[in-house]
Amino acid sequence: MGKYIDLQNDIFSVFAMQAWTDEGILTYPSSVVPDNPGTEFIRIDIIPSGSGVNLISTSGIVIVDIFTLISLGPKRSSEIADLLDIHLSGKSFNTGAGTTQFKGSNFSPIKQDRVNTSLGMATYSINFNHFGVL
Amino acid sequence: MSYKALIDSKLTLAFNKLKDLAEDVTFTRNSVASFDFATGDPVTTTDPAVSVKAVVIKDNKKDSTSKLQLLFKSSDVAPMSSFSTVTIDATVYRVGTVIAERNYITLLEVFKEA
Repeated sequence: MGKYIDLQNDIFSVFAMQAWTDEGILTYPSSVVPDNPGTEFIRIDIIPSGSGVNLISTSGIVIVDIFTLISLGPKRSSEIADLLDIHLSGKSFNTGAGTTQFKGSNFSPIKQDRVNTSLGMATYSINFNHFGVL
Repeated sequence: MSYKALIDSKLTLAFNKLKDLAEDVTFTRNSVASFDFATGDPVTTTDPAVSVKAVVIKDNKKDSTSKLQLLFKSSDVAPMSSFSTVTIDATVYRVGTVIAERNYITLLEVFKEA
């Protein structure tokens, strides 16, 4: 298995866990466009843009767009960012040959979405290292 | 009869008057309901196909049938964004960009599947 699919499986495993699904937040990869995403959901982008310690390792950033009703103000998106921190920050995941380690996170507060102006979008991002085993 | 219903019935009549210039094409859709992070696949449902009369416009200059344009009644295929493929003469095309939508008529670009 290649490092990119191994990395994707590690990160997807977080959102497949009962602990995350129990949070009740609809979650999609950014490439999947559901017909009716709802008024509160998150969209995940995995960007393995950095180098790793060996050829089958990599590093990068996970960017999570958090969508909530703009009328609710900034509180709900901050709560969801905190939930993401609980499930990701400082954690390690290992579903295949390699291990993915998350570091600290950043958060960009809510702004009105350009496409659907009834929604607001905040951005949560977290850096990771993925260690492949040679 | 309301103006909307009147325009709709006149458009239906117009497409029927075109006879063989308007072809029967079939739109199909796979609705994405959610995403399964355990399998890494979207969870889709296949909805019933929709058959409509459409004018098929070919780009004769380029002598290519890989890209076509379809002109049809907007209300026949709504919402457009949920449709993924269209079958024309037993050939499957991918739904592309909506070039123009003027309330009652849609001009759509479609691409032949490899």
